[in-house]
Amino acid sequence: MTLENVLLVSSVLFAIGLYGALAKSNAIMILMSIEIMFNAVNIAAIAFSRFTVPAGLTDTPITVTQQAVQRALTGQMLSVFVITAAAAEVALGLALVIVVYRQRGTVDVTDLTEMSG
Amino acid sequence: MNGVEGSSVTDVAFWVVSAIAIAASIMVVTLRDIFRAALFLALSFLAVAGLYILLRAEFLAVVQILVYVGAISILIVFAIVLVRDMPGGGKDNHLKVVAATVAALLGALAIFVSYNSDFTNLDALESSNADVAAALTGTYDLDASNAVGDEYEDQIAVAPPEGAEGTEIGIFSNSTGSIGGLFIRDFVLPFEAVSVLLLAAMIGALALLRQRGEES
Amino acid sequence: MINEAGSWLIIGFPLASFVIIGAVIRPFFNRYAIVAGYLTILAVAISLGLSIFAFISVADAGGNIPFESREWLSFPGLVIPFGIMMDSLTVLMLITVAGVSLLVQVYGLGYMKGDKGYAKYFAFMSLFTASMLGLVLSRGVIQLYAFWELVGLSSYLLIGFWYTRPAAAAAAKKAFLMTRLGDFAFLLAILYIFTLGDDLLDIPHLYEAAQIGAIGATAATWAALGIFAGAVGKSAQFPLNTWLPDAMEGPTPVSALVHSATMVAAGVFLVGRFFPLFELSNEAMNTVALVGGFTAVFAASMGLVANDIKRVFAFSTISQLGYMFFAIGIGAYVAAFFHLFVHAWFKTLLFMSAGSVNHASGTFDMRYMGGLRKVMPFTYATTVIGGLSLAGIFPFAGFWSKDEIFAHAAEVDSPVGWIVLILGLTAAFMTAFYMFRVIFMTYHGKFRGGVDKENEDLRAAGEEIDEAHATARVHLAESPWTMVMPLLILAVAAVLAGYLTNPTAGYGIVDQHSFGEFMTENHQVFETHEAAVHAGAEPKFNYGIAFLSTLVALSGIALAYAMYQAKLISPANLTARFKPVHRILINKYYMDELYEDIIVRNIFYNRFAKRLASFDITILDGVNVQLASWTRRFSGVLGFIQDGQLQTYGAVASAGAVVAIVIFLFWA
Repeated sequence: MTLENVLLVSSVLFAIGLYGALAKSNAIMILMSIEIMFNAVNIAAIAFSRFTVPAGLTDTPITVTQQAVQRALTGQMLSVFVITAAAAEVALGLALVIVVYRQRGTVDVTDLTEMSG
Repeated sequence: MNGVEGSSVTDVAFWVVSAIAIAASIMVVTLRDIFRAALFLALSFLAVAGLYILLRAEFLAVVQILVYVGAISILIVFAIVLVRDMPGGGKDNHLKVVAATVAALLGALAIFVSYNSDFTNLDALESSNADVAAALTGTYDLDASNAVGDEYEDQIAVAPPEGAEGTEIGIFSNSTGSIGGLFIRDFVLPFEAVSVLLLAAMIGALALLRQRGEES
Repeated sequence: MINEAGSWLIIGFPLASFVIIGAVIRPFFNRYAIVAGYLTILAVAISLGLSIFAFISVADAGGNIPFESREWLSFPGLVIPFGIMMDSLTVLMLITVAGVSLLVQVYGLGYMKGDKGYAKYFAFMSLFTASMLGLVLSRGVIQLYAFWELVGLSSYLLIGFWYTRPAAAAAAKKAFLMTRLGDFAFLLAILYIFTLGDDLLDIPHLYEAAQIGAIGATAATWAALGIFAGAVGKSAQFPLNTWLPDAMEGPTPVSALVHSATMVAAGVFLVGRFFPLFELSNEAMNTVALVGGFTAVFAASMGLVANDIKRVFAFSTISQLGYMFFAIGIGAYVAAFFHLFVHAWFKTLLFMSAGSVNHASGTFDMRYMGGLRKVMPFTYATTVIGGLSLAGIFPFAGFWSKDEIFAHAAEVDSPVGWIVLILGLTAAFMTAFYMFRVIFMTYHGKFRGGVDKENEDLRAAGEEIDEAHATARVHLAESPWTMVMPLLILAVAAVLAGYLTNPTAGYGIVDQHSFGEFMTENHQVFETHEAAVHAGAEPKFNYGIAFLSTLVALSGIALAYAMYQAKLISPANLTARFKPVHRILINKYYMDELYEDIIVRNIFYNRFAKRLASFDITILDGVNVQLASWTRRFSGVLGFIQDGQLQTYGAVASAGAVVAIVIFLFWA
């Protein structure tokens, strides 16, 4: 389990999610693909957190422990917030899908083209 | 514990879990039946949670299961049920080939970048505390007492600074507490902001789905 | 002694009159339009007073008051100067212009009464006077050109004063465009002068450069020819002469002021102003002389057969201007300007008399006039005086001025001198003839019906009667005093002005040769006394030439008498005998047809302009259309990117991101 291998997994997952987001016509399917992409990003962040330490320490005299903790767990913190935001986003996204379904009777995004340029 | 043995167990576990995650994701994006796709999505989330455990982010693994598998997947299933568009399912649109190419290229680029980058060569830490700088240069495994062997243990630049003890800085063995502490101390602002975000999301969802006069 | 501010005020008062009439009186007080007339007269009178003061100052100062040259615009490498030039030529022109203008404005008070454009007329007249005064006061060449153009503009506005008449509008356009041709050559000459030296755009500097020999003969020739082309346009010399007869469509006072005494004289003034430059080039001088001499005969010949009284006078003006040009061309600077001065007074007089007879008979066609001397004695008397002056009969002013020209021509012992002398004498014969033809046809014999008879004949011939003819009335009486008084004043001038040169002796307060000396006092123009004398400072009286010219003039008058008064020779028979000649003359040598039909319509429009237009449409537009259609097709090709699908946008964005990363990785 090296950093590169984990990043490999993350990249593959991201690519799969991207494909799904671009190539599917069902709105809910697109949302699911986006969730896959979020997961891929989280994996990458946590991998970096596990295998590296971010640079740029401050000069304020805090203990090594605190600094180390702060620096070393930054990736995981990012993931927490990503998960939170993803949850909020999927909730709202699905709400929108349902509203659209109520109004148009379809969730096929190819039928929803009013923003054409 | 023998480092090599530990390594191989971790590795095998890693590859198995990764394979499950990837396979499940592929099923998500290729199945026409949207309901089955949702189920495979949940499986993918579970696999990712397992991956988190392997990466020693236990707190996050649990959060992943609670939030993603427990809430988001259920939400998606509910939405699928409400939107009775089953026959349509996971149809492909006209961008299949283009999307596949672009996604493949992007993935390949990311892999290429990650394999060709030198992650041990991070910027020198500009701190007045030389010990700290010395301690944190390069990749660093702070949990010296970790039973699971890890090749990066060889790359500790210097011994942990004076006054610091293994248990005190065993952050990875207590990630939950550490994360909690970080929420209160260093990441308090994003924490509050995210609560506002959740509030807004809740209100927004309710506002969207409230129907005038009828049942909501 | 006049100062610079006073000099600017000479222009300032008529200009202010123009602005006030244009901005205040005409828009708001058009009912009291007569105030515009009074205002103009006041302004021009003040200018005349200042001009006389300037004249006295210049005479005291010895021929030139040097004022400063100011900067109008300055760029690196180019400074455009402007300022006042106050020398003897200037004050001569100032007095002429201001004086004639004042008399014409008084005349106009009565003549234009009842016209609904009364205030506009006086506004334009003020503008014209201001422009002409500015022209003669100009020190900088560009400044002079600016006023030159303003004069042309005012002339256009005044000719086309009754713009609802298509003939008038066309005449105004024609005048402006033809003079523009000359002005274009003038502008080229100015640019050329600038290339000869940075500071040559200031006239005194130009004089200096000419006199120290800093300008070569060929350079001077080109510059002088360009300037002369401008003068040819403005003074209606051959070949740019066809606009002046048509310009008679304007009101008669306009013809009196602009097209007899002032604007057309601007051409002569221009050559005089650049005289040191012209003197450097024999070719230019000869050209000026020959063109002038030829035009004198050419125009006079057309005046022999014209029936419209104003047109006869128009041809006469062109012819007399020809005299002035040929005088200046043979170096007789003083004689030329003396003739200009004298001609201004009596030609204005003659035009005003034409306006008066128009008021009486309702028409300008002399075939329908006659016997008017019983009805308008003052007009008749003054016209005869003017006519005798024009014909050059002793002791009237025209005699002295014409004679000086001939005397000078006889002195110049070169073929050019002899040619122009013969041309001049021929023209003198014709001048006397047509002038008295006019007098006999208009004032003697029986009244032949005026505009009423003319309309009858037009109807009988089946032709249209235009508005001017339909509204005119026969009113056989003397003109109002506002019209007669200027005539009287001008008649006096026509008699007395000749004594200013005093070639033979001094008369009382005016010394012998005073005019000549005054004109050549300016040392910037005439460096040495010999040069001054050469230019005519002390004209000698050549009794032989005087006798010859008087004989020629008297024989012209006699012929006119024989044909039109005593009816000894019948004009009709002569016309029948020399029919082709008559036809050519009455059609003005077909020059209008040449210019308008052949050159403009055929060559320019049909051949040249149409070719260009078709090139523009097929090739240039075609290229545009092709480009547009290619762009449309290309945009159609790329149009699929903007199909309103978010996923398309996402795909394109991702593809872009891939490209960017690749570039960043491998090239940057």
